[in-house]
Amino acid sequence: MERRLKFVPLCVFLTSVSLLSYEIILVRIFAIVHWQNLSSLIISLALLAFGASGTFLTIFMDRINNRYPDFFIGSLICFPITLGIGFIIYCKTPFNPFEVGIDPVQIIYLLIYFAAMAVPFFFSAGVIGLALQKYPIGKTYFLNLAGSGVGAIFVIVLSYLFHPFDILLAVTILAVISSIIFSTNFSKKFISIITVSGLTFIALFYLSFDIFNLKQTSEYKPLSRTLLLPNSGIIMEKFSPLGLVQAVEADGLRFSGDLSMMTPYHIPEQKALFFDGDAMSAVIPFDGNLDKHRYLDYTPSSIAAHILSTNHRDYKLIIGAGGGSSIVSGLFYGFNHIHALELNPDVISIMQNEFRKYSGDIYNNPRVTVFPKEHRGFLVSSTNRYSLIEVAMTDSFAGTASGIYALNESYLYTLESFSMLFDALDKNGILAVTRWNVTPPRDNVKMINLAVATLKNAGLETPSKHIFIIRSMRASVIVLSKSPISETQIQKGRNFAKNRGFDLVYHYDISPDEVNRFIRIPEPVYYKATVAFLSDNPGFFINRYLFDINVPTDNRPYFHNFFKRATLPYLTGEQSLPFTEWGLFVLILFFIPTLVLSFALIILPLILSPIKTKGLPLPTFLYFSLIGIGFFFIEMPFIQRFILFLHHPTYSLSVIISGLLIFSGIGSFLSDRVFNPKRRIFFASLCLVGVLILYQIILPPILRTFSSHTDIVRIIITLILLFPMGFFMGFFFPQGLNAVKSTNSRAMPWAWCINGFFSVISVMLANMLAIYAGFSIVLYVAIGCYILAGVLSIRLVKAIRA
Amino acid sequence: MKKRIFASAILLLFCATLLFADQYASARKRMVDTQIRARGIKSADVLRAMETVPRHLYIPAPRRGQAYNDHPVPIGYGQTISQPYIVAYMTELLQPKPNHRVLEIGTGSGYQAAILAEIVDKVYTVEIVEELAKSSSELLKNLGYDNIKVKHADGYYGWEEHAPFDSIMVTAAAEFVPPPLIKQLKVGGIMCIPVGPPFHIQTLYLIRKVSEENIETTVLGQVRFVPLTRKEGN
Repeated sequence: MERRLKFVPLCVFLTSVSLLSYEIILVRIFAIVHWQNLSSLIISLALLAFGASGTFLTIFMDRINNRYPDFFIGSLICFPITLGIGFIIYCKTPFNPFEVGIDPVQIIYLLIYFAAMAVPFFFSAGVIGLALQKYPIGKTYFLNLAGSGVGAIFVIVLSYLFHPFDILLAVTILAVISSIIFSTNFSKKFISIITVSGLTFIALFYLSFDIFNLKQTSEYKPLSRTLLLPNSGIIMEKFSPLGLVQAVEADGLRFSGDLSMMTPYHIPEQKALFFDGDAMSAVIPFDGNLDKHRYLDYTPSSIAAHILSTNHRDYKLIIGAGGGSSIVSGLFYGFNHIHALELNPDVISIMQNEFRKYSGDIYNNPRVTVFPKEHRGFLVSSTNRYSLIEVAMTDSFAGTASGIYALNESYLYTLESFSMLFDALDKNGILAVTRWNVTPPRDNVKMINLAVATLKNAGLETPSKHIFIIRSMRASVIVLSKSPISETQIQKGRNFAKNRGFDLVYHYDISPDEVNRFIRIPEPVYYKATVAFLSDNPGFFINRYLFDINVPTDNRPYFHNFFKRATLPYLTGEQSLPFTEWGLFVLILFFIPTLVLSFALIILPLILSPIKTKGLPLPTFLYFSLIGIGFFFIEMPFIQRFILFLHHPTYSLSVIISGLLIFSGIGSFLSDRVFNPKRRIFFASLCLVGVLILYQIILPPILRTFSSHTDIVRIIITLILLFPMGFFMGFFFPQGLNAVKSTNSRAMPWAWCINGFFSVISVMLANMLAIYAGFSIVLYVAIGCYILAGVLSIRLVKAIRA
Repeated sequence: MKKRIFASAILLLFCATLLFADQYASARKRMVDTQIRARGIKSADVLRAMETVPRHLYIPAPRRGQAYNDHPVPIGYGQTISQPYIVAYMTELLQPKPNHRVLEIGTGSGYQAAILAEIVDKVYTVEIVEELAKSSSELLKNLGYDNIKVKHADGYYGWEEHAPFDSIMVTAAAEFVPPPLIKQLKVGGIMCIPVGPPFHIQTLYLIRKVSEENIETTVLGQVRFVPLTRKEGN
């Protein structure tokens, strides 16, 4: 009789908590050190190690079974060790994503990155895989999912208290505790060794942060460059799940979001707020004397105030108040009420406390009200109508120009979002959007397309009479007016542009020789694009354009992805675009080796290990690959839907991920007790597909009905809606694994390995599909996967019986 | 015996230096032929300057092997030394003449200033990062460039006491063109600004001060490896 080991379930739970925390915090750290764009991609690749652990368990099953406790404790110990060492290697590897394609050494650095991140996943997945072999699958899988769900919450809570790097230490501590707990199955001497060495390791890892100077950001990030200025320094930093906010001062720090060369005024030196070392927002030194800030009248975004009549300055809405320069501008132009939206509470806190005096207390100015809300959540519950809504420079120039946002979703720049903003204008109100110009023109071309689509979507008779666009050296401003722009307004706009050396791009009375005069570009492409978008057949221009400039929607919220098939010839060779700009193509590029490697590691056990049972491999392979794909394919579109419902990116993610994982865990735990065992998976499949189809019908009205309710109500509604879905999703893996285990226990880790690899594949595939076809298609594929898995389950059970 | 070993070592070092110097010289010539002349740079002064200035000396030792490659090279502090072609292209755009007085904003490692100094009388260069200002100043001094003046200061204000300038090159990343620089440019003078993140396509802006009130800006398009000849966006 084999000895039952103590604390295996607890170790599975703790490992799962630390595993998911590690994954999330790694994404955060990657975003701080480099940029967000490639982080999830690299980490999903690192998750290949999950599948690899299954391959390892399958091949070495006999040896493992002979020394099960040793392998279990070995995996537990190796997880924190490789996490710590891997992290030091990760921080000290001079990987620079911008040099990929220029310097071949960067590919080696990239591989070191993968390895450093993947190894801890290999060992932690090994812990779970080993537990599944010896302990009840439903219960073990429940602990795994519940632990992961708790991990998602754990890391969010810690994000309010600690710097992201310190959270990594907490994750390591948790993993070490797990090892110490399990070591109680061994001799007292061994327990002492594990405890002492575990504590020593934690201490050393903590010290290594300073010894190796790990808390450093890429030297190419705006923060690092700003810190090179004389007398520069980070004067404070605050952290939350929304990111790291750092306040910086330096000599010569000036930011205006472009400025006319004809300005007779100087920009005063400023302080700045940085978000994850990027996206700088200027804090203007303000003593109440607006005359000191006359240069604001020479910034391109001031066009909006010039077009508005002077007696029409009631309410101004600012999307993303940041350091408050748009607020000062609002005061400068005499708006009676300024509503500033700032989602990040740390920014509000800094502006109302540490920078209170420096900024002239603008966040508490009697004419200013700051709302800690995202724009959609705010507009749903607001009845105000605005004279001016301003969306200005929401992304950094470095980020915009280098394409690092290419894989990020943006729920601000979508047709639905812009339509909401446009609806919130008063009858003569103006929506002004300022974005950086990039070369070759693509960002602002897409922006113009979105603006025109917003006007058309509003059902205006002549959209061309509602748009006015100017271009400065570095930026373009797109002005949308609720009422037709008058001749007087056009004249004002013309004068504004002429006196500042800005170019007119479009107004309905423009002649082609009026464009491209001051800052001459080879082709007046923005003008041509606007004319094309306003025509009856914009598709012709859009299809012929070198980049993807289609209107982003909530279903395809990828404003920053410009890659399309026609772009392909420009990715390589001498006229190449930088690697970071490749967007969708980067995914494809990474997807192919992932697929090859995954299949190789899935097939390897079939060659090296005697797991073959007649008729079993194919249904097993298909079943576990389908559910591997299906899980994330459901998760992704629902994250999108609930982000829009909960109006908060971080809360939404933690509620949805934790909710789905925990509910799936409950489903897994109870899966042995419902339905006829012979048709259990099939019935679960019917129920899940039924729920998903039902949600296609009932979800939009439910979400609409509750969208203006309080946060708590919306979170409860979200959880209620997630429960049936998560519950049935939790059936497939443990029940499938039970079926395999009951016939051929050797094939069980192989099934685990298939599921692991297809989870990685599904992340990349879902992203590609969402960019290319939208979230709804992703969900339809998920439904298809679960229908097929349900049908296959019958085959799988039959094959096993046979 | 010891003396012999010492003498042999010195001899070996000397030979190695000669060997590497020769390698760099031939790499530089190849660079000018294949990356610069072949891409349409015609100015004899610019070609001569590019052939003369030892680019590898302006690059940190571990990266020196990449000095004459057809791409930008990191020099530390988040800065890069531009791709050789871009340096040549921008220098040609300024139409430098021997009697010219040129202002550079953003000295970096000093390479661009050295190229300009091979052609014009006086080069004034301002660097806001103290470490770079010091190291480039020392390097340029050691290499004998007595017609280059390096100042550690905020480039926003230019270098008023030496103004007006025949041309200005802004190689430091700028959110906007600082108004004082426009003032310090002679009427008829040219300013050249490459804009774009390191290692990426850069957009070149050429600003001409037609009169005190009239400033013309031309976007010369994108430059990375070669100027793109296709029409933008089509």
